[in-house]
Amino acid sequence: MKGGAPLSRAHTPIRQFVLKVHSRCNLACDYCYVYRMADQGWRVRPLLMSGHTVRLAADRIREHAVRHGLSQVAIVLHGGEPLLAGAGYLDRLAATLRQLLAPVSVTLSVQSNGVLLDAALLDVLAEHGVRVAVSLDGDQPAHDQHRRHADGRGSYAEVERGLLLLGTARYRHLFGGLLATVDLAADPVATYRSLLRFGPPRLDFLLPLGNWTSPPPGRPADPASTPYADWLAAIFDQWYSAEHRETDLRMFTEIMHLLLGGESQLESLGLAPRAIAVIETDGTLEHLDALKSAFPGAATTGLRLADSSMDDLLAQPLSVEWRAGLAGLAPTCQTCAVRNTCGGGFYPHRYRAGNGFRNPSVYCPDLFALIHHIRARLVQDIGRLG
Amino acid sequence: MSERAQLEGVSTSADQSYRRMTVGGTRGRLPSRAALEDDRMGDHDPEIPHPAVTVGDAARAIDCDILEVGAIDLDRLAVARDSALVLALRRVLVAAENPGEGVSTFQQSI
Repeated sequence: MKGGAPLSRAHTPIRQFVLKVHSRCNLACDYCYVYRMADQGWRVRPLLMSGHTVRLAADRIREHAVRHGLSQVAIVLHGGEPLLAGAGYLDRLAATLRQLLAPVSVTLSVQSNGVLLDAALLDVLAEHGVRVAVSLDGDQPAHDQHRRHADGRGSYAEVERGLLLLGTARYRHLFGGLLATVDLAADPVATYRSLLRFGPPRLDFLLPLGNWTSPPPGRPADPASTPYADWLAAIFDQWYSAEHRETDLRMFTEIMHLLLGGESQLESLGLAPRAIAVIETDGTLEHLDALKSAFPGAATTGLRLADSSMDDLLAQPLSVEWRAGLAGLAPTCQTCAVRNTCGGGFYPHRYRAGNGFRNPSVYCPDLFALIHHIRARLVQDIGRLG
Repeated sequence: MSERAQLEGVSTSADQSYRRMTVGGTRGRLPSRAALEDDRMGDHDPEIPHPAVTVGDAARAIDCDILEVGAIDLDRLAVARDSALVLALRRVLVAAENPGEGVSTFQQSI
């Protein structure tokens, strides 16, 4: 995103704001960090972000953008399931944000489970230019294994219906992409192909949340074992070898960009400063909400929109650490050969009870292997240019 | 070289010649490969194998006018101009011309 003064790592302003517009979900996915892991803070939060809180959020975001000379910011509508807020609410929300943030330009997007996508909602999102991204884990068996309703019913059929509608000419321009969580039990290439069926302009695979104290499924203690790298490398080979690019696969494009000397635009890779704020339905400011997978209160800052600015969030010790680059990594990471590419991995994956987050990622062996796999392919191909 | 320069790559290096590169097809002056590799690798332990692919490699590719449609020898590269590799090479040059893009975004949305 452009705008503002040249970057100083320690003073990088926040450019992306995650608005938790609805704190509940119509699914009960078994790996959800909001409802199924350590932090249960959602239980005491209002269902919906009030109009007052929306206006406060807009004021704070605008204040921050103006103070730091940002001409553009991004706002992600998130949850829970943000579409539970309904078409009327989202219509008013988008209009309010654009009105109160002016002259700062706003890129709006929504991350949804896709179950509620219908023409009425999509018409509202289209009217306000809200990009729509959907969580989908693969084909029906793979998706329904984890992404179910509270009564156990799978959600694939509903999500499929929504995605097919999103893919029609009327709404196609809104389609932001698909997010899938890796399931080692599923065939990787079949999973990739099943996602391509919907023609996503962008796609990413998320490593399941876990840490050294609560290891991710299938991640053994033996560092010689790299099941997640093996799974992802199979997809990389398919994706990279395609004669024409089939989709933008975010994790791979970011790793390639880093290997070529660029800076990542994804918080889970590289050493670029994080520039993200999370605003809960009750107006509290939080750190990266996936931290909730580590321990209760891990994302808590004690800050509220009513009496705190975004700069106050930047001054929090965790925010400072996230901007420290190499110095913010665990000692073993600081001398690692792939440190600039891996960047220590996704912050929640580094947690170990007793010594916090100053550790390599629990996925360290997988990240190392995957980066080397991609690097080897790049070296081979670029060598042909010589 | 400052730690920040080591961390942030070419856009903060002493050699700012990348600013004279032209995006869009015309060949421009590129920073030396040695300067770029020195910038990226910084103080790495020589005993640790490090990535051989750097901005310098991208610069070599870009010297083939990768951004000019049809100019790159795609037969030699053996990939299409909208392949993952070519798009990655294009992106790294654009990023070098637009310092300040290096801020991270939320992983739980796309």
